[in-house]
Amino acid sequence: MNPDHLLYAETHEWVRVEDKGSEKIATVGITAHAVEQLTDLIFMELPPTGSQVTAGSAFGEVESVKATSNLYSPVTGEVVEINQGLPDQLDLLNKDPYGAAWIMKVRLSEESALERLMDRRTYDQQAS
Amino acid sequence: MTIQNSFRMIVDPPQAGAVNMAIDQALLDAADAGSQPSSGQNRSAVSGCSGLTLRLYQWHPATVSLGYFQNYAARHSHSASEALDLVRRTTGGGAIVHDRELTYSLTLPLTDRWSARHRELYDSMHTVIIGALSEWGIHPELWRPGMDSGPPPDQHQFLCFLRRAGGDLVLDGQKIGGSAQRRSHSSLLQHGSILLGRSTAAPELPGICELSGVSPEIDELSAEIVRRFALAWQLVPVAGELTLEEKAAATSWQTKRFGNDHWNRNR
Repeated sequence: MNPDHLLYAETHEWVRVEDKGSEKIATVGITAHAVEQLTDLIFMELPPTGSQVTAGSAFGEVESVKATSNLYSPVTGEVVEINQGLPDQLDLLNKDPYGAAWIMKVRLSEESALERLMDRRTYDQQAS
Repeated sequence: MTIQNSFRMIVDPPQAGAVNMAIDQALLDAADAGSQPSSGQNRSAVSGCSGLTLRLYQWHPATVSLGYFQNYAARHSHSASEALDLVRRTTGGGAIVHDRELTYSLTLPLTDRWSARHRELYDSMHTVIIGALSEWGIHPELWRPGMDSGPPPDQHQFLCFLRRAGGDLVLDGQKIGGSAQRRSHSSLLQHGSILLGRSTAAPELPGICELSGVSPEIDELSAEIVRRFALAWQLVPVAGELTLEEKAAATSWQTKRFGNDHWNRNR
């Protein structure tokens, strides 16, 4: 995915929203900046398909060599798909954070949280 | 001096693992950047502070703490500690046998949990400990990759003190101190452990006593760590204890998480 076409949360997750019929599906990942800052990721734990996630609330966890951190959902809805292979191939986060290292797909139940997300230029300014 | 230039220090008596971890979780909650105690005792020791708490404590009875992502079943690979109580930490890394050992927790607000700057806290705290131990003529150093002549340490060892990460405290090649962090949305908990002496529940790990021939008194070492920390951070230590809200939160965490098999055997 082209990073220029994504939306970004101040907590360093990215979102791509697509229309699927009458539904909106958000693909969520973490930004290259976040991956760079974490360094040496060891573990990632993700929610099961079918679980509910809420914008601003934790949905998963990552552990680097010395730090464990929550992952916070930038959107609200039901998890419809998880990148099952990602926890076993965490180097994908370094190689392709906006593509193969996507984390989850969420069927949006409400869209107000999208209004708080940033475009790439604004996010880059915040992250720099 | 202004109260903004202070931090809260808590030196606790030895307590059960679930109690210790519940207290640290309550401190992490309270360190949330937006939270301030609203009422209750010890308010003066907390409100207006830097939001930082340094807590030093021990464990009774001796307890194994598992790293957050460790499998519970892995404890059976280490027979010497198998009979001990067990609690799962929220911080990562390997298992620690808390017996002849001193633990610290550092909790503080943060604005960007991803920031690489938080890694500096490891070296900062470990440098404080190096300074404190120097008062007893003990001189550990910060471990860096390549310092050892042998094969690289196995990062999947059950015991944390058999692993190595940059910034660990080593004395004569043996790890005697290490730290790990839990970062929540707007606060940070750093746990650290100083191995004072060899435990019968982890006989493969010599501690400071065996490696240096010196055994600092716990109270004196704790006081020296606080003093050195205050100097390094240019903050004034204010002796404190938990607020009423924090005590209530700790009790709740102990019940619903750290004293609960569902949590401790989760993985």
